[in-house]
Amino acid sequence: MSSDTSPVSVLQARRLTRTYRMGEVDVLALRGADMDLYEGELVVLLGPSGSGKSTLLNLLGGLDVPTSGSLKWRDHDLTSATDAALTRYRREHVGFVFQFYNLVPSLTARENVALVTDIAPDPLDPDEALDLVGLRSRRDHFPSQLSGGEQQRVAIARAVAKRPDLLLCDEPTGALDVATGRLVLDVLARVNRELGATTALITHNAAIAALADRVFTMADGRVATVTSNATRAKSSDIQW
Amino acid sequence: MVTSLTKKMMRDLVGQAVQVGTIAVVIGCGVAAFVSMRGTWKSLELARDLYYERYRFGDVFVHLERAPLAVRARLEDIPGVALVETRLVEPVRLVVSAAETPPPGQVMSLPSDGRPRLDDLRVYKGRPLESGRDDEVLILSAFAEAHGLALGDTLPLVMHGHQFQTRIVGYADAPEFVYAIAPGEFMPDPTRFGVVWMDERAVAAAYRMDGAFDDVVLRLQPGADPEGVLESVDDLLEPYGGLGAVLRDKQISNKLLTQEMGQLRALASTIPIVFLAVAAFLVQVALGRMVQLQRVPIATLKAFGYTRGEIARHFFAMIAVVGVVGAVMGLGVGTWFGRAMTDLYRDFFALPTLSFRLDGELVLVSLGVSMLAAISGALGTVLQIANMPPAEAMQPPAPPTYSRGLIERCGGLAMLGPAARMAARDMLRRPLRLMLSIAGIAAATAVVVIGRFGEDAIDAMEGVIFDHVQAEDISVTFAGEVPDRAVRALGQLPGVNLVEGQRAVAARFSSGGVYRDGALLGWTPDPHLRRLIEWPFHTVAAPEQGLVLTAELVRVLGLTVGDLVEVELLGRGLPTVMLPLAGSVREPAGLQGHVGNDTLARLLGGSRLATHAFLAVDPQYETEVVARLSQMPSVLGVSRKSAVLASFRAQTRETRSAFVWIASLFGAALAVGIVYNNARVALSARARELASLRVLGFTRSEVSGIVLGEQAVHVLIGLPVGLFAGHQAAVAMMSTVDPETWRFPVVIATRTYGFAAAVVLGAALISWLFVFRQVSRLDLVAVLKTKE
Repeated sequence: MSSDTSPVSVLQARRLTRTYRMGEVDVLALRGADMDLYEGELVVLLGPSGSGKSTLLNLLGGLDVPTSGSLKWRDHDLTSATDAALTRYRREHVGFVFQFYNLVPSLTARENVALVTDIAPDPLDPDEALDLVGLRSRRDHFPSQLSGGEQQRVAIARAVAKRPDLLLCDEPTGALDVATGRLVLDVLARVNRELGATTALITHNAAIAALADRVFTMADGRVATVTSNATRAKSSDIQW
Repeated sequence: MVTSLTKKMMRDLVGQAVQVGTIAVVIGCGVAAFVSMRGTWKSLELARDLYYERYRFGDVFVHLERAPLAVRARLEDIPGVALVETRLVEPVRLVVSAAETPPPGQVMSLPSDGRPRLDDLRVYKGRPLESGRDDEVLILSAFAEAHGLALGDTLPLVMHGHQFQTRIVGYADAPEFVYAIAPGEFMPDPTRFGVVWMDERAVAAAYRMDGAFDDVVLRLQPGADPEGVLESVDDLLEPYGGLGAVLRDKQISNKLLTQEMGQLRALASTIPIVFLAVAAFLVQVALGRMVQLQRVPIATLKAFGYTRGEIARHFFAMIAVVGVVGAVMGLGVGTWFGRAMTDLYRDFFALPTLSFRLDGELVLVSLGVSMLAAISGALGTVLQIANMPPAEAMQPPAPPTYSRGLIERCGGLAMLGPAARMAARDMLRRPLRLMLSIAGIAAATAVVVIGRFGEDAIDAMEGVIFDHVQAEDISVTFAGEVPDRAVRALGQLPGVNLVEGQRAVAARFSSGGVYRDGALLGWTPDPHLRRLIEWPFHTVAAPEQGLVLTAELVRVLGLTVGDLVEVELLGRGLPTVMLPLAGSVREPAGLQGHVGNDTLARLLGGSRLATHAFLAVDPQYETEVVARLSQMPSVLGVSRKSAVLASFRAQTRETRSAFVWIASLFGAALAVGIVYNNARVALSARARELASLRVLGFTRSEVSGIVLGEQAVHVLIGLPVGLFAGHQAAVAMMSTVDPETWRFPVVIATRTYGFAAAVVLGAALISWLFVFRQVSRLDLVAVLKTKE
């Protein structure tokens, strides 16, 4: 987002740590990450494998709770929320897009979207959500009848159909070829623009950073650098 | 040396311990059912054959009124007859105590010169009779034990109206009394069927039967024509009051033993198949999923150079372990059940060498069938893995294909929300698995119903017989036929409120060349104490004119109302008459004809006589009345209904409750095996989908609801199917009972259906709790980050 008005911070993370027990060793996946996200902006998290970006995204999305530090979504404290509270947070505020789509194979495209609109308080119409990703004509197809790019666009439609405040995308183009990946990024940028959802996107791919308002680089479990782009590039301009 | 592949196998098995365990338990149940029932059946067969062989059980049996000993030589001359044993068998009152008189027993003569040539007896305690002693008896061991009669005790016997003092010198059993049941009773009761053996001269003297016999046992020559022999014997004995010769299969003890063994054999060959089929299905479901999870390890093994054969062997070995574990558990539990069943049978069947035997053949067959069940379930999946090219195995499996089926195109799922639609499509995508799973649940339910329905049948039977047919307090059997006034005289005893007589005559009913032997009963008009009851409790009046027959007898003889029935009254000098069939009555046991007592008196050319009397007595006088009756020389036996009922309950309850327990455990094991494995596999196969839903904001309960809802549909369809199947299985089981002996009603109480449903639902709930816990532990992040 590039605006002159002072940006509203919707999410504050302070000194977040997260330790996992892997077999018999403790792995410190986050070592004190700080981050603020502003309303309606699109940010990209860059970083090598193991830098902690997925862990951070999981904490932001309420899939997990930090070992220490503090995390607030507007006035909700997510630091030590119960499972029920996290479920409600995800249900009401967060949309997810994964590298491997995770569509329900026994439901059609429209029904996969309806899965979310059924439980969200103020959702889009499922067809409207599919319109956003350009897939209304494929709405009655099952996942096995869709290409990888189409499946990912259905996943995006499903994520945005609840009008999320926060849209989190973990390597959304990771399993796609360049042309399809570009199409998906285009959809994400449009959704961010048209619905105003704060969007965080994880990628290995530094070229994608040009799409963002701000770019966070992660290294060794911390946010190493934060840079702002004066203007956001168009997905069609990106090369990788 | 343990190869790495073997280690992998063992660890995979340990990792899936619960799942593998439930499958092994189902296999184990099948093997246990097979081993216990088949083993008990074979043990019974062995003990029976050995006993019949060693103690020379006869082939043909006939009772008659009286024939001179010279007739014996003519019996020996009948073509096809190998051996003839003639003897005296007479009704006797055994005076076991002053307070009680069991129904009439039998006294049997033993040759003075040694042992009988046929139907020998086994003296297993004490000693044989001393030759020439007329005051010694051998006594049927079960009766002696039931009444606490010891060797050396004095036993007064009332023979032909005279009391004799005898001394018990030995306990004995005989192959003709393996199932010792008193004539006219429908459950064996050791307290109520007494048999004593005495020197033939003593019996002949007491019953004035010197130089005569009234009972014959024959052994046939190999290849003889049994029907021809029966005909010749009947022709020969007709002038001597022959009651009709029967083959071994109609001899009451052998008939009931054979019938019980037939039922056991039928169960032994059906119940285990149900379990092993379910086990094969579970192996198929569970292994199929295990293989999906092992695509990458399998591909890696192949990439390393393992052959198809080695991979296939690896998986077969894994399944074989499950089969062997199941077989070993089954053999252990089956042997235990088998011993318990054999012990129960020993209470009913006096077979001296009866003990449970687990022979090598049974062990080998058990191992073989459990392997067959396990491997047949695994075959398809293992071949599929073995043939999968490594590169394909390295790829995640293609998303399962779904489409709108016929049901959906017709709008069948339109009302459902997405979650229900997920479950519905998943079920419809694999209709065969759905059906097998429903069939499995149904089998589990049916097993519990079958286990318990015997109780209902016996309760219903008890209700009809003790509440409706036998309304008396005391029943009396006279030593012969007594005049009406002797019956009325019993009404003068203190405390007797009402007395009614009945006359029973042995009869052969024939029509169109078919005949059956039974009793012709002469009823007093409007009886209150012993009643003729149309199942279940509708009182029928004996006809003033003509004859009413047991419905089964009408069926066997192919009669319709109005037909003339030939009734041959058995006994010397008794007539054969033609009576019109006035109706039929559905009775629970036996084959009887019913006429008015006046009709019977007219047929027999005399006044009204009675062979039995039924008394209604004030409870406080019951003991005194029994004691008074027991002292009357004309009385052969006295029964108190309360004592009979108590003994009946004691006999049936123990057996039944053991059976209910075992069947419930088996049914629960089946249900857990199916529900747990299904839910577990569904959870594993759909972990990604369910985790996605959790991420989208679905709660744990909502997500569990999708998996469990689908399983609940299986259970909810399987339950009623199983209740119906249980009813049908009960009908099939009852059809193995000879309808001419007993007609057990297939009555299944609502509480039995409720109980079966509760057992299966309980098992399902326990399985679901496990699954719910696993949904709670679903690692959202890990699941979604992996390719599958």
